[in-house]
Amino acid sequence: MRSPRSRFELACRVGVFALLGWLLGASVIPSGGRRADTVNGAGLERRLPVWTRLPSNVALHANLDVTPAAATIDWLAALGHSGHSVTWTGTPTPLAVAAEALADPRGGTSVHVAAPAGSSVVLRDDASVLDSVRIANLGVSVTASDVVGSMVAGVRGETAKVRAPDSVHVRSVVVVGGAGWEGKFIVAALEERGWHVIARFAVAPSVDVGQNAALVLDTARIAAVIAVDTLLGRFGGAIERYVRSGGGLVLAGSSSLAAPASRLAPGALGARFRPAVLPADTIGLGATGFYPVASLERDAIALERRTGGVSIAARRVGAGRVIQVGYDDSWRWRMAGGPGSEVAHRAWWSRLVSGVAYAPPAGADETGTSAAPLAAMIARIGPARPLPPGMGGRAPIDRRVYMIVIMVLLLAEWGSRRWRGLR
Amino acid sequence: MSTEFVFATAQYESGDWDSAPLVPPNIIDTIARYTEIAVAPTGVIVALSDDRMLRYPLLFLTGHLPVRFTEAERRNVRRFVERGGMLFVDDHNHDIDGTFHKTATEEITRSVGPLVELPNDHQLYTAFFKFDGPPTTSHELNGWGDNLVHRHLLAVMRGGRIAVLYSSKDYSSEWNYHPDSKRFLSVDNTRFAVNIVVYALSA
Amino acid sequence: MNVFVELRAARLTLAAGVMVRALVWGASAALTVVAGAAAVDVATPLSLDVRSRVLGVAIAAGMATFVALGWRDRSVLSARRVALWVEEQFPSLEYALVTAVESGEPRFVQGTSTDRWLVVARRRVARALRTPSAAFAVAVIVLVVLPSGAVARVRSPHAGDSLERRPASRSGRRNRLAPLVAELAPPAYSGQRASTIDEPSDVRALVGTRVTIRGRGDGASVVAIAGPDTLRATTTADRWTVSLAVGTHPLAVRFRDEANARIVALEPIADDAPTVTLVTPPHDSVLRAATGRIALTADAGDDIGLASGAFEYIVSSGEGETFTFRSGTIGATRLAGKTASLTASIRLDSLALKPGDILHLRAVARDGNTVTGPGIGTSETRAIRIARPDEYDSLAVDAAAPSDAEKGAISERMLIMLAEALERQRPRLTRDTLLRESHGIAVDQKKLRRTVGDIVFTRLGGNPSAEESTNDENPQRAKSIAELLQRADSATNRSIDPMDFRGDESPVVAVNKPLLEAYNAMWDASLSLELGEPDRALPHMRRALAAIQRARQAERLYLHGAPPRVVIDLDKARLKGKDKGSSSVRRALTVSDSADNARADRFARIIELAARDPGAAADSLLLLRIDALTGAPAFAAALGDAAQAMRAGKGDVATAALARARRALAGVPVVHDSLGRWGIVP
Repeated sequence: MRSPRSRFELACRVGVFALLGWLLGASVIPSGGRRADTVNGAGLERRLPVWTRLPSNVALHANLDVTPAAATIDWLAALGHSGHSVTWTGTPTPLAVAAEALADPRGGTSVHVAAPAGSSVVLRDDASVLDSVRIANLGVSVTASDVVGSMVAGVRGETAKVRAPDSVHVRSVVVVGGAGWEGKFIVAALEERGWHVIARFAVAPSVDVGQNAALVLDTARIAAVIAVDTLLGRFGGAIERYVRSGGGLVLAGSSSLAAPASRLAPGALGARFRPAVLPADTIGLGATGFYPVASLERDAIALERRTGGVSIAARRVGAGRVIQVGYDDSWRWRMAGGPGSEVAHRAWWSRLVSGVAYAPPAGADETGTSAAPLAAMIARIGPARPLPPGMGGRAPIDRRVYMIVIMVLLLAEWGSRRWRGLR
Repeated sequence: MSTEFVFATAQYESGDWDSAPLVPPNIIDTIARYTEIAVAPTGVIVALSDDRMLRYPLLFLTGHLPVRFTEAERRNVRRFVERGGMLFVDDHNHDIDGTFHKTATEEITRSVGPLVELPNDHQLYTAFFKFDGPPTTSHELNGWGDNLVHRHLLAVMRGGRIAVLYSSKDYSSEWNYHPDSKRFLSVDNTRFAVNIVVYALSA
Repeated sequence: MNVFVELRAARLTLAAGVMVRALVWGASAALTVVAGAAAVDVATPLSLDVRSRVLGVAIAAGMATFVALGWRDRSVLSARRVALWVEEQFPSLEYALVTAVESGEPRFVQGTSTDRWLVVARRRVARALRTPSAAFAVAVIVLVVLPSGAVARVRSPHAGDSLERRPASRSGRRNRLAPLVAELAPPAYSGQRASTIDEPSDVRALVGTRVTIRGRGDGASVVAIAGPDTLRATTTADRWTVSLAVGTHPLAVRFRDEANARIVALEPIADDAPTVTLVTPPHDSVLRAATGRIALTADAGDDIGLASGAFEYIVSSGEGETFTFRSGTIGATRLAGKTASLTASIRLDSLALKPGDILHLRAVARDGNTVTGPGIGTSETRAIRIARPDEYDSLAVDAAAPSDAEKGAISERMLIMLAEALERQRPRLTRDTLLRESHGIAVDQKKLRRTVGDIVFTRLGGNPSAEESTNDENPQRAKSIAELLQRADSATNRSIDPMDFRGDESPVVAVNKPLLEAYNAMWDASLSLELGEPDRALPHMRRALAAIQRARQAERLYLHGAPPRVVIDLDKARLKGKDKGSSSVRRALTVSDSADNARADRFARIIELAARDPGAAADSLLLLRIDALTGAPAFAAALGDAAQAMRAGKGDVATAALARARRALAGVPVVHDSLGRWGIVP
């Protein structure tokens, strides 16, 4: 009759062999059924090492509120490639960010963030927060004159990151028109901003005042042409060739009435709009009236509307861009505007020219998975899908547990024998 | 408001700002004679203390009496210059006594900065007509040891442009006549005014 | 011995022991606080504020400990309690002593031996004093062991005692650039007291302040680079010194000593010019008569101190083209303090003002700045005009347009000055030269005379050149005014009654009479000039000038109203000029705010450096701050906050300060809350 101790020892030995047999069998014979292991987003990263050791018949599923980090997505993709079924569900916020260098002598970056309307986006770079904006429609555009390092946009816990692009080489701009205040102050604003301006002001028949530089409209040398009035007609057909090859054109005031501009302008010019009441003290942009764009071309975009009509419209012509600006006396805003008007006038004209200037980027466009994280995740591991029906059950036990149990049984059996004085 | 060039005379409180009322029409006539610049047929008078002086980026200021700006005038002159305006000051005394010169230069220095001699090869002198320097007026003495020949104009510069142009040569007297009298002159003595206006409109 | 007496003696002994024990514990507590603060100060320098409070805290702790212990053991004053204690020590008493004390009857303890009561009490006191004495000794030992400078910094803290602190680490002791002390001696005129700053990184002081930087150790290898200057330290008694003055521009002083470097920024505070307000007269005015006294009062203020003040006046006399000026000072006085009032008065009679004169008044104040020169502040100017008699009647006559004769007046004045100058130079000139120059003036005089003659005859309807010809001997020339008037009269068929030009009579005579006078005087003058006698010509020329001015006055009375509004017929004039201009080159304007661009670049590089080396980034921020103080003060202020926060390791504060700095420099980003089809919208 065995003693209880002996039975115990026997049970331990049987248990050890049973477990070893189980392990051997599980590794050799594929199991018929599949199980699933589900984790919530917060614990996903910690769970990945466990998932890696699970047999491939275990489906892996994550409930995500935010898109996980790129490294986590890569890991999930690798698990998927190794035979696991990797699925996810949830509602991470779709977010994408892109950055382009401003064609501006002072540099600067324009950052575009796409996110759902109504959400609040916080944009920061390596130095500090740039701004926070509530999205009205599709996304936001932020133009910052100084961006340090990478830019990160954050919406509802979701973040997208993009590196600040290298600044672009800015070429000269041409300003042409009759001598007058508008031309003078456009040139002043651009030169003070750092643009290299080739000015041509007609003063009398065959008498011009301007830079002593050859005026050849070529995108290799000229980034944009700003026409102050109908003197643009001097260029004839050269202006259209220039724009179609990528050059920029700003048609200010009545300049789109010039013959060469008619095929390029975003729209036909209407009669000059004059407000009923002229400003008594400070003068803002357009407060004294403007030339409205009466009828837009089919492919033209209205950039600014005000009482009286469309004041700024834009259009792509060939490889170039044309902006039509109805204001013919923006200089009044600079001289007689409120505090800081000269700075605002300078920046406004610079942005206008940046919007059309020919300035191809210097280097390759760098886009990474972090610029649009949700899209990148979908591209790697597919869209959101629920677990297939029938998946369930208890999650498989970690094999290390088996090994520990085996060890404990062996120790117990050995300890019991030693207790009895056996070896 | 039209977009043409309007000749504006500055009115200030302390002196006889209106001592040369025929200068504006004379210069307007000159601009029309030699250029295609769209110019208003009459000039305007605008008070320096009024914010509306900022609507005229070229202002003409003259007189005989001491010039003492009020705080409002000084503030406006400062803003005017910082925003890109050009103030043309002419001593109607042609510095015989010096009080206008002393007080006006003091006020200009206090408001916008020190006056420096404008080199005679500055682009102002070739902006339209070619001059070797500031044209001498018929009222200046010449070489009698009275030291009243002004070989240079003075200027306050801003960012490479003339913000204040100061003359002791008495162009106010030289140009203060009805434009119809030009027909009596063999050489139009107002041509330098074209340079000033063309410079203001292009610099 | 009386039991009660013995008991009392024992009680007194115990009470004394309690007192002494409490005292020693209190002293130990106080010394412990001092020693603890000094020990902490050795490891981590405590601020002056904290050290100033340590003694107070120590005393308070000692007092509190003394009072607490004394209160706790107050039962020693109770005879009954002491009796109980004795009972404990001597159980043989079996509460007889307590009964005796409570009843007051010594018979309960009759025959009891009391010899050992006092001994036991003393022994008990001695035992009780052991621990506090030990604590006291430990505290004293700690104080002795600590560096003397550390104890002194706690015992008598004062600004500038950083140098007395010995750093704990060896490297700290070798570093001659830490600690540093800056002693500021403002310029004498400011009246400000000298001050001391421990561990200065940023020194704001009045321009002209003498800043003396002291450090510990031998300064042989210590060098201070202040802009273009390199200063060597001088050493006295284990202290090195560098002295320099605060200039008008911010300056970063870089100290170098072997492997160590340190930056101290000097930020000048400018002495502003005084502000002056003219209180009376309160506004410009016009006076009928130049008599009486005008009271002058003004208020002056200065940021540092006023030195002197006065009222200045300028009297302008004349009109039209002829003005003379006189100036002077009234009521000059010495001033003191930051605010002062100036008072004076001016007697108009003393200025000999005439109708038409203008008196310009203003107040001027100077401060006592002896470093960059006195600042001068001026008030607004008041103009007091003496009205002309003709201004009282009815109409306010606006100045008419200057007539053509106006130009003649100017030219005549110039001719007078030419002639005067020639007359002055006459002794030095040869006869030929004199004749040549005099003849030149005569030619101009004749031209002028011809012009005046044209005016007269044009007005009279005659042929402008009828009277005049180049041949001066023409017998047709009118030799007198009367003859000229006769001709004028015959040309116009008008009466020649002169002078009374009011009412309906034509002003022709009144206007032309002075012009005719001038015409004749010019004739006489040119005759003398042709003979080479400018001295004889001058009186005639002056008479001609006076006559022209009278003519101008007459015209002003009649050609009343606003200056003629001349409207140019642009179409008629357009491009009708004989001369043609030529194309010209314009020079480009300079970039505005180019300094801001440079600052932005440096700022971006410093941000990148901060991730690798926060200490170096903080120093770089300080240098950038110095450069930006003048041109971008808001940016500079934010940089200062950021540098401080970085040094203190406060990341959040530094980030917020950096965000403020970049906004101050680059402005707020332009934000559009929607994405459009066009990339960059103006």
